[in-house]
Amino acid sequence: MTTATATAPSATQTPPKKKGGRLLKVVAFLAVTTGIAYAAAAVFNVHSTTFVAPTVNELFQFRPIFTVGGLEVTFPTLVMFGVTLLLIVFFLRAFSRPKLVPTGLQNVAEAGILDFIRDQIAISVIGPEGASWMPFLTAIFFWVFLNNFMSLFPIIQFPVTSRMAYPATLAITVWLVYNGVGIKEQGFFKYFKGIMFPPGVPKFIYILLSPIEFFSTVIVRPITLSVRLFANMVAGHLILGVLFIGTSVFIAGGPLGKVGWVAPFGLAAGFIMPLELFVIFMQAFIFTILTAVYISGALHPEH
Amino acid sequence: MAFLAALVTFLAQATSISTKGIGQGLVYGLAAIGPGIGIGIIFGKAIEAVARQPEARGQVQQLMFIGFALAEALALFGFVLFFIVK
Repeated sequence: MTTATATAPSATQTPPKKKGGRLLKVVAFLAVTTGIAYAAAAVFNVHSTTFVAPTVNELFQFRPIFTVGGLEVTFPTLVMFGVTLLLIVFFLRAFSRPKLVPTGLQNVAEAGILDFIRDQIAISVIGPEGASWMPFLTAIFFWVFLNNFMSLFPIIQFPVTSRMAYPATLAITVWLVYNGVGIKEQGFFKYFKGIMFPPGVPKFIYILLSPIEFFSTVIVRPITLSVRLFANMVAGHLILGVLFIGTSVFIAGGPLGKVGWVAPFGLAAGFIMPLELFVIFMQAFIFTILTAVYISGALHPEH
Repeated sequence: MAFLAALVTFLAQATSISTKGIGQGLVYGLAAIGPGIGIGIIFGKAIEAVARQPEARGQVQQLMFIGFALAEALALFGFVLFFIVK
């Protein structure tokens, strides 16, 4: 009797739908169609070889649109100025008439700056005096993030930071700032002594350690900082370019190519785009946090 | 180095790819080994640390991303060399 009442409700309930089942069907369908297309291509000796992967020159070279005083203005430059203007307008609108209880744009800006830049990066890396570095870090983070984000922005779809000049300029600025801060806070000789002769090391190790430390702090840091951002954006743009150009080529191509290649290329593009969004955010975050780390190292010498 | 050179010439003869192409591929492949191991260790240790002490998640995550960025830079140098190698 008791067992019957216990089993009765479960029997009347409809079995819960499996969410993974539909995805599995789609994947299986794609696998089968791809296999059939490959087999047909092998049997009938038909190749969809019209697709040529785009080279770096094709994807990253731009003809100058116009020249201003001998300086050639290209598409990325225009996008960069647009982004900068957008940022200036955004922050002016958000903070021109600050209210105690924020509304609208001010709300968004405060959430982004206070909760994220100040608490996550400035205070937690630099320390209590990090609050005064917040404007610098905020400007770097939002500038890098928006310029990276142009990689996915419709119509533009080109990451401005994948041209080496922009990350290099940023890295040089950061280099000047943290070295300047270190020299200002500690004095010229004390700052370089702190870099080259870290305490707590046996004397004879300094012969080996001092050049390496100097090299890594003064020369390698700006290079890695800029190359990291640049290479990440180039790689992301290359992958997206290959996938999207491949998809469009195969859509325009013959029926075999349509069946076998459009689905994998398009699907991969769909999967890569969220990943690229993550990379875009991550690189802006890493650039900002490393800037904070370098400034913190210049402010607080090792004891 | 001699082994690498022999490998490159062998692969170039075995396939129809030029020695330059194979060299470029090898440059990135070799450059990705070390950072791959390093990034694996960094994330593994971070997960271990968070599992042991979940309240330190924020700090651990921050350090993890700094370490990740430093290790990743080496692989990206290889990626840039891919285009520079002649």
